[in-house]
Amino acid sequence: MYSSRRNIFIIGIIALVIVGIAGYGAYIGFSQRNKAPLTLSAIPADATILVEGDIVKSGKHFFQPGDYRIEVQREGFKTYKERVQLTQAGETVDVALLPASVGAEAWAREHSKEYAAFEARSAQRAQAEGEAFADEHPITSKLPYENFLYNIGYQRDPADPAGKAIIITIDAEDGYRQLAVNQIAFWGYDPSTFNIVFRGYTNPFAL
Amino acid sequence: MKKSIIISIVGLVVVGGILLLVYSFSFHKVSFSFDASSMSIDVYRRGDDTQKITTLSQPGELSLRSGTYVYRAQGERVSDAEQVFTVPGEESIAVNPDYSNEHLRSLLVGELAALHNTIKQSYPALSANYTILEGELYKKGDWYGTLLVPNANAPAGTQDTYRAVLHKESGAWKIVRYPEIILLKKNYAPVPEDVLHSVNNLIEN
Repeated sequence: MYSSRRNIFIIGIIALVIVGIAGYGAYIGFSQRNKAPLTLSAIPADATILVEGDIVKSGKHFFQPGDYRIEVQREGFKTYKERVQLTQAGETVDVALLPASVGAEAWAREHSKEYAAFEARSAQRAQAEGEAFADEHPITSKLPYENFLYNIGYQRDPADPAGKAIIITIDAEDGYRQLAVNQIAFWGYDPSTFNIVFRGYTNPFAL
Repeated sequence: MKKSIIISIVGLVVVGGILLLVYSFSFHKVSFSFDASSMSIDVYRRGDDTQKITTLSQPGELSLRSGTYVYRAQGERVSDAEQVFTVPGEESIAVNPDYSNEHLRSLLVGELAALHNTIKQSYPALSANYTILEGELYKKGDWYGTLLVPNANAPAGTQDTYRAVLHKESGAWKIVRYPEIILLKKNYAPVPEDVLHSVNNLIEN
């Protein structure tokens, strides 16, 4: 009898735990639905981080994709400000505040290892971003390209808030622009799929 | 002894019946609709176009096993470009091929004056600087692409070759967008991709 009650009690506890975990999972899933991760970290670790003016802790947060104003501040350090275009893929804001007072400089010297680790993380991120960019825009491996008739280059498309799209730029003399376009096709790319801008040029038919 | 023979025969019949059912269920009906007055349809198994399955001279149904097939329209005025379809997946196919290149060329003769006039009237100030090449009609003769090649005495700023796409709407030709050196997909969303590709690959000769 006692054993049976104990079993029921144990099963009840397990059921409650399972329901609790499932409920928590559902709550997390529901609250993060259609949101994107924004990971925030700062040096010094006790710096105040603000997202759109609201104080948040370091770590991963979930927000609706969009444009966010990030501010990191601590007394004695230069305030860091950045606008982040948060996409569904997520963003990381990792900040090392620059000292702006004698006390802060002393603090930075004492924590030079943290700054060195930050530099290493930044370098890794830059390399990863560079590789991702090259994967997304393989034509950039051919650019800039220059010969005596034309130059082909690229730049980030300012119209793309995510900063991922590019514009292919062509500088060519009158009458030689088609040759530059042909060069892109010669590399195996379909020129019509790019956003191509001819520099120093006005289309006479568009006037 | 007899009993075991009967059981074996019944077993064989049952297995045979099941196999027959499985085989018959592996066929799917595909209906083809088309204008029989202007074309017939050749159907092939994909990748093995030497083995024609059948020719449909009238709209109708075919029973085909699961797989990927192609059909080609055959007719004086229609393109015989391969069209792929999968079975099961497409139960009814409305065959509506583009015109053949020969037919498009013959149609172009009658349309050329109207096409070139449309371009010249759209850009009267520039038409003296460019020679409009013959160009090509596409699809069902309702898309047209051509090159505008600068004349030898063209002034500075007009020495590049331009590409133009025109579309026939309600019987009248209209320029889709002002001529450009390269027609970018982002600017020509309403133009079928194969038409855009062809116009971008027109060459002067």
